[in-house]
Amino acid sequence: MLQFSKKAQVELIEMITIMVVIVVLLLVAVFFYFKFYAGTITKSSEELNQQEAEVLLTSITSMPELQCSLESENKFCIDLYKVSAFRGLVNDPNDQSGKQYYSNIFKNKGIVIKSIYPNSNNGECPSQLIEYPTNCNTWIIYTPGKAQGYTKKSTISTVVSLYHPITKQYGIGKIVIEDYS
Amino acid sequence: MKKAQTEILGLLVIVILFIVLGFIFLKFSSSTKTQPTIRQNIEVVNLVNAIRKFTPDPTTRPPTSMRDYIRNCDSQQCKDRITQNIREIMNNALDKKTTYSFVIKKNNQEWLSIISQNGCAGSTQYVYNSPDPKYTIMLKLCKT
Repeated sequence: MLQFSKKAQVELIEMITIMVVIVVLLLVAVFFYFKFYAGTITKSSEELNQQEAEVLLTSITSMPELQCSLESENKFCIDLYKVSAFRGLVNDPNDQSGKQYYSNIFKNKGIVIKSIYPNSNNGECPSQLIEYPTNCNTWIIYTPGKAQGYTKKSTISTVVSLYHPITKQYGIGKIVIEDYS
Repeated sequence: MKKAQTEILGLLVIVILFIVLGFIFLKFSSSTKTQPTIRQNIEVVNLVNAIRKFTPDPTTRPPTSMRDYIRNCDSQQCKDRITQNIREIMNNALDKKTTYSFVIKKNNQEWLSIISQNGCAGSTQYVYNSPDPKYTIMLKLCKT
């Protein structure tokens, strides 16, 4: 019958214990590493989303669909009549093609234009604007379809000049990008 | 304690030290913050451009822009109107933590200075000089 010396058995047990400790330590290290890595990826994703929103914010002001122009010259402002028309196109309940087309550009970002001065009452503006709005201050341009299911929302905004082409009056507003991520 | 055990303990300490150092390195190597300066600059430029286009008196025909209003202003009455408009615009456009200093210079001399109620202290965000043949607008935003 095969016999082991006591000393050899003790050393074997010691070796196994040390191996187990090292493996446990390595597993703990790997666990924390991946947890840290996952956190970094989430942070990068949020930063990327933020940058995307900032790029969109800058590019929206120069979109021909919204930008005001006079005799083909861009005036670096938002035309309120174009805003109304654009909102009608994107939110047409009978024709989803507009919303589908712009969902590829705006993705999961909501776009709202707000008039901040001259002061106006809160509320969404109607499609037809005869005068510069005083009884409303908001134009909801685009809301992503999945927005209802999400609670986490960050917003960024920038000041823009709002132009009313009939009265030829310039007001001051904000373009707000709402991030539904 | 046997010599082999002591050596293994030493090895363990070294492994743990490497792991800790690795974590510290990873934490600092991935903490490069994106610079928000460009965004703040755009914000201030947009604000000044919007103010220059703004129509202070919509009853005049054709409507006058703030740019022309400032250019042609030579009375205390229109100065007061400009001050009131700028204050109201700033109060609506900026968040409560941001203060401002809005200075208009004509012929290199201070013509109008509008500073927020709490002054403009703290870290300066951006200073924008809006060039015009007749005057210069200097807007400074401060974060408190």
